[in-house]
Amino acid sequence: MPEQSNDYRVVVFGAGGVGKSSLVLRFVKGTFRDTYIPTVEDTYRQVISCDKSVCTLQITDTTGSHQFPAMQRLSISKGHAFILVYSITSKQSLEELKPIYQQVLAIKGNVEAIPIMLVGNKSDETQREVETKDGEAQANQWKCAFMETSAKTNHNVTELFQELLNLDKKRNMSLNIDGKRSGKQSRAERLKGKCSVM
Amino acid sequence: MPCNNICCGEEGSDVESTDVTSTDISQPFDAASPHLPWDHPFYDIARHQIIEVAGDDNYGRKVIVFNACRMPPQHELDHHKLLMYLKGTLDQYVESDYTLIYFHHGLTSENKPSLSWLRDAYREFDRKYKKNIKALYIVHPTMFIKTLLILFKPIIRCFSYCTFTHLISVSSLKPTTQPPMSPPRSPPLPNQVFGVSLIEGIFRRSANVTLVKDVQLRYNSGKNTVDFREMEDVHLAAVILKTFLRELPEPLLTYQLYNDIVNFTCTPTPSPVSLLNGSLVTCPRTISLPEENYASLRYLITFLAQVREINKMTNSNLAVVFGPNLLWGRDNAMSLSAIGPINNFTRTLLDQQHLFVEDVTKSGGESKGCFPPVSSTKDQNRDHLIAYCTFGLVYFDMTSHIALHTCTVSNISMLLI
Repeated sequence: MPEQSNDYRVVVFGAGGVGKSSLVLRFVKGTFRDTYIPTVEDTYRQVISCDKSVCTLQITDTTGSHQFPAMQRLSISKGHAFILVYSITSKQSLEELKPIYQQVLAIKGNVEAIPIMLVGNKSDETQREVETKDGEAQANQWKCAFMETSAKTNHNVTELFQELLNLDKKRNMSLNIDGKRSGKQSRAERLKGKCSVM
Repeated sequence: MPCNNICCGEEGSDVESTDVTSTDISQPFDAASPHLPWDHPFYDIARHQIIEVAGDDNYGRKVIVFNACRMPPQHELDHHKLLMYLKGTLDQYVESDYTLIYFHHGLTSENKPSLSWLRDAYREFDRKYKKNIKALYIVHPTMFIKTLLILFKPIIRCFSYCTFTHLISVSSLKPTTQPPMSPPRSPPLPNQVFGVSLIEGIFRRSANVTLVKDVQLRYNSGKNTVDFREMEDVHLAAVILKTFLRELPEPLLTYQLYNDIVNFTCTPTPSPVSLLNGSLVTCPRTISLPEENYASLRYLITFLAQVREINKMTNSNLAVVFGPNLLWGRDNAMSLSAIGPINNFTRTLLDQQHLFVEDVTKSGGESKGCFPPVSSTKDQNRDHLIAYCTFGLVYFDMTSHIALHTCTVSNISMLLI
């Protein structure tokens, strides 16, 4: 694993059409597009504060429609933190994260030190197939954090990324560039009970 | 010899007539030719060209065509002889796999055979004939035939397990390269709006991984027992199709063309189609795509063109999900810099889908339409080869299933003819 470089790389995985790009775009640009475009691979950069200095948060939005083991392996080995996205409207999309998690496990070895967030997106949808407790149970099993989000209504999106950064114990990172860590203290308030952190 | 050529033969059929002199009704004849000698006992049957051997399909199976519209009025035709002729024709092919296509159009009360004849016919055709029939296509079915088939489905099933019965309308057969795509049965799906399915994100969505593996295994074991209609998940069929392409030992667009395609500047001229069929003038050294691959690609692209739009899958969306399944590098490591051009190439192919059709008419309507693809299989081990060929066999059924669920309005209206 690459040691403390100036980049902090977050990789977003998930099945096709679960809203990976929507989440990332909502976070990076604050917008939501109702169009329907599969992703090849996109990377976004944002400056965040890190250990009283600044560094670049690099978010890689991957494709969900086809898996190229080689490309996936490369993203995993280069990544510092991972967001595994499923859609609460599709049980299948949660199932599909399993091989990806296994892959992360295989490449990174001990995942407990790696920030991983399991995310149930589309929480605004009414046709739910995956209950919140099912997602929590899966996260428990994987020993990772869990959150439900909605890129459409902007629910828990910024929280997701901040929480992910908080999970990394090696660095002290914050989305706010003023350098003050606002993470831990107000966490409970921010998450409004929608998140459980192991 | 008078009148021997009164009915012009179909192009491509073998016009070699056998030289027979005896008048025994059981005497041999060349069923592939409608031109029997005038003194042959089947001469007056054969000249109507009701039964034709149209050639081989893409799996090398004989295709036997029965044209109801060529049946003369009842009193002009010896139906017993017709039955014998039909038997005689089939006898020559039933030992190996064959496909029967029945054109229902043109059957009127004038030329309709009697019920007792149908009963006789049913009795005449014992297991020998049913065993190897691989598909029965009923073209231009009437409501009556459709109802009959639905009623008798259980019975039909029990004597021909592997037979796919397809009901198709004639317009879906044009152009000749396009295999029938839309069997008009199966109940409406929950997503249907005015009878038109909207499968959002077809080919983008994923399917149950275990089911996909299971279906693959069943195909690869050579058992044609996969019925996508039972599985109710159209995405499963779509994923299987993509998986099939992705797991080919060599990509459909071939390693040989990899560099040409990745470096191809996609503008309307030169068209990517010209690169593939070798007609690119500016680049004479270009090696064109092998014929089977080209035909498969043409079929695939024509098929995808029908799927798009209504399912939110535009050409560029389809290209993103299909491009990487059509071409990859020899080292299997897909770099982002290559995916861009490959997807771009795929999108242009989809945009210029009409060029494929034109290309067919130019080459004389030759109708080699689909799988099995992949040219250089020499270095592949035999098992692997068998595995994906078997897989390719049902490609037909699979794509027809996807097409059924993703019908566009024009497809629907076609079915209502």
